[in-house]
Amino acid sequence: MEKIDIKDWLQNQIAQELGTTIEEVSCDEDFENLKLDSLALVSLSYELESQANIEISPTIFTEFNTINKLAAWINAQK
Amino acid sequence: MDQRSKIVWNPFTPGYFENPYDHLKICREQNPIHKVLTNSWIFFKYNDVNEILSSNKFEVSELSDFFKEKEPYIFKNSTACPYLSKGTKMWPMYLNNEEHKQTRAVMGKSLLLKGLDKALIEFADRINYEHQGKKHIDLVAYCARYIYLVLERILGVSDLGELEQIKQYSNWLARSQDVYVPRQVYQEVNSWLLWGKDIFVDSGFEKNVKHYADQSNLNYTEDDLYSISALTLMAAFETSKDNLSTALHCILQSNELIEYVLRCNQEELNILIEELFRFSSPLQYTIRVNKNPLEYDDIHIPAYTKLYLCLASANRDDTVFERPNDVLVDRNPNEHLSFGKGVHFCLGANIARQEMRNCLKPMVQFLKNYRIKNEEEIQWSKQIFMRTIESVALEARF
Ligand code: HEM
Repeated sequence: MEKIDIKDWLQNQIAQELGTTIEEVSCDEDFENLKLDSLALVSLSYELESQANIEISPTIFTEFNTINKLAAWINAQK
Repeated sequence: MDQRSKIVWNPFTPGYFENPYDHLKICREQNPIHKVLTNSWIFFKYNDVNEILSSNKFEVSELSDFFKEKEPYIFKNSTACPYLSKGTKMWPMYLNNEEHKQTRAVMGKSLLLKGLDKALIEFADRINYEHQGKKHIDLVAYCARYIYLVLERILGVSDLGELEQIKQYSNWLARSQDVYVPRQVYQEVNSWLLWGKDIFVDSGFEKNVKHYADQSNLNYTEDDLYSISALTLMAAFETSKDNLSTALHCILQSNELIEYVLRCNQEELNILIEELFRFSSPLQYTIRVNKNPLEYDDIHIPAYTKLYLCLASANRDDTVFERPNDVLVDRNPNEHLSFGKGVHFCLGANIARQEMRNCLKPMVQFLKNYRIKNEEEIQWSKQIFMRTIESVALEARF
């Protein structure tokens, strides 16, 4: 269950940021190609910290560069 | 491919906030100029940082314009009144050319500096008196109280209000200049900027700013006046408090330094104080933009790129400073960059020096009766541009 939650949440947030639908946000797409600027990514990581309940660095989106990789890492921390 | 070029600046490296200098040394020695964040570059070596700050081929980036562009995003789905762009519009470290010169000149003339030395001696005595007989003291609160009294004096405000709130106000404003700042933090900065709007009304400083601005036919609005006062408070409070608390924290760890401060003459004290500015580097980074393309060996940086200059690293560069991680009481010359360099050189550098020259002996005399309670428990703030100790618990030796 947990796995799906974080992934869903990320997809949802990114879709909202970009003003598109969840279907258009691929979980294997590099964040760099998603056209989110650095302020949006840092803000997302801040929000993610409270969602995931673990310490998350604002550089997380460069360390794990797709939704799938990031969600897998977060789930492995729990 | 050179293995060494793999090192990349990352202030979230474990342990960075407790001690950034190990990571900065590796960056400086192994990858002294490299690309960071999106399309920005960072410089670590003294000579590079010094040269960029001194040259007119670079200018500062504009914070207020950044906020103007980002405010719709920062305040999306929020009912708050966006004030980031207005509140930071007159901050001189983000102004260029004529506007910078004018604002800086007006600010410089408007600070209330007459009789400051005498007042500073009284403030240090007052702080010691207030803390007399206490078994436990928080060193950072002790330092903040001194700088708070200095601020009331140089801004001509009879009562700045609760110290704790001013501390927070200053700290939130400082965070507006940091890197990796999420919009949630910008929203908080915004609310503090709005909160502080009445602090300076009728202050001697603001009256002077108005007077000198009128004399030069500068039509400052109420928001402009507030922006100047807010910046002055933050620039003066945050850095001076951080410098004094880091310096005293360092001195209290060494009986040798305690004894030296108490016995040295004024000239020796002044030299030590410069060394403490170098050592603490309260503002650890600043930013410039190159007006022309740059070439460094095989590196090409296009014009109008954001350049992060690591003052903290430059100040620990061992090609310039012998034993850079030690406080050498007689280091002279000491061309540190803690106050920056060039046209944006710190406007308050001499005030910061005066503060230290008048408080260090009486404070060390008083604090030598205390010891640091638990060195491991000292908390450093998770800020990157400013190096801030949150608190240092001291316990009485008596
Ligand atoms: C230990 C204390 C202090 C330190 C380490 C410090 C550090 C600095 C640095 C590094 C800069 C240059 C920033 C850049 O080039 O981008 C600067 C600028 C400035 N500082 Fe300070 N500062 C201190 C105290 C003060 C005080 C007491 C005041 C005011 C009363 C003050 C007011 C300013 C102002 C207005 C500027 C902008 C100058 C300009 O852009 O022309 N500072 N400070």
